[in-house]
Amino acid sequence: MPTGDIERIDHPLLEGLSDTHMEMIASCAWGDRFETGEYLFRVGESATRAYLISAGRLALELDGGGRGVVQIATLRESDVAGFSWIFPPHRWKWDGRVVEPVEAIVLDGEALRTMKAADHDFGYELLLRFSAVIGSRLQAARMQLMDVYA
Amino acid sequence: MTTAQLRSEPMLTTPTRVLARTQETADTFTIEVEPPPGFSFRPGEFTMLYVYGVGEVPISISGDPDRTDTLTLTIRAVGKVTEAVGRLQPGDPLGVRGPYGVGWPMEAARGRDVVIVGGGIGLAPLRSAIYEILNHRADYGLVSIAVGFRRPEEILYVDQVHEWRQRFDIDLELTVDTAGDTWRGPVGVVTRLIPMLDFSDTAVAMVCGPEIMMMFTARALRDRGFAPDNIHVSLERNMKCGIGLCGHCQYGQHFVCMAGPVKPFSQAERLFGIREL
Ligand code: FES
Repeated sequence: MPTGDIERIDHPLLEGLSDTHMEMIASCAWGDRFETGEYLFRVGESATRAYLISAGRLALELDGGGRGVVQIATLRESDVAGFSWIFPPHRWKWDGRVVEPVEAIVLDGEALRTMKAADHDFGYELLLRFSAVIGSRLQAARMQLMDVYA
Repeated sequence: MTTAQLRSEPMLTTPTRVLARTQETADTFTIEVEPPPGFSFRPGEFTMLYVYGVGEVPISISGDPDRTDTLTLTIRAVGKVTEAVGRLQPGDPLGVRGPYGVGWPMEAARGRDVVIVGGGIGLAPLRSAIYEILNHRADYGLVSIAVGFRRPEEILYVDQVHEWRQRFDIDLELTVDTAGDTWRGPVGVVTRLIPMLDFSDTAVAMVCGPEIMMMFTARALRDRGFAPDNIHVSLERNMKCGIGLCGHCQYGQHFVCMAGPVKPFSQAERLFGIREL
């Protein structure tokens, strides 16, 4: 599935990467499209991918049992879905359900793990970018907790 | 009595009555009130509503400034007086003073892009500005509106918001903090919408909601290049007289009822988090 085609890999997460690192990304990336209602991942499943979204909307949600399904965030163009592939035990913490057809660059997380372990410069660049994603998601979650419309 | 006379007799309460009442959400309702003769207002101004035998409360005007047949007020029932207003039915009497305060910078916004960000009940005072812009659409540049609510059931003016979303001459983004799986719109705090809004560097922003929401929003706008002088927020303070006499709304050397409620973020930022001064 990887296309190896760096011309087609365009996403804010990858801005500023060197050609060498882009080639490494391209070696384990491919474009894909997902239809409404499809699950990109389910809670507890093995997390082996990241999705760099270029169109559509993906809901991050959890089935709260008696509370029903709760959506806590939606991701769209320019967002990134998936950082569970980075950290052990590499399992998804949320369900990712397509609300509007999603177009995304899919990254093979297992291949990325191997490459970042072998090339620490690459690993640093990658973790810097994913840390920013995690940071902004954390900030949004904190604001939701603060109940800012109360 | 005209608005000029009402403004020159600022403590005068005009007896009037409720014309209509709409329940917006579980705790929020809109009343249409017969305006005092000759009443007019500018978007962002507020009135003092008097419920006979209960008390008085400041309420921002949420209606269309071009309509002279009705005075529209959206109110969240959170205290003795607002709950009493909530019990009023068409035909019931109440008193009105005002309008008061400094409203949204509609004149300064002419010819420029406008960004409007509302959170929860904060959409109410902004609705007057939205009406004003839509009534004179050609006078403004790009208009981007972002609104956030806790849950889908708490969306204010839900039909109107959907109507605005269909328009081609404004861009409206709506988000909720949390939702069930039947909700098809965005989920997340309102600041997550800001990177998606379109505006030039001379744009004017109008932001209204709880202070913490305004603070985060104004900072997110600043991060996108907005000058703090071009970001306007509406301060909520404990207002009593509405005309700079009682000191209840004082901050530093200013009174919010006179110098506000709308202020540039450059002046308001240091006041956020200061409860009473
Ligand atoms: S409300 Fe009395 S001085 Fe402002």
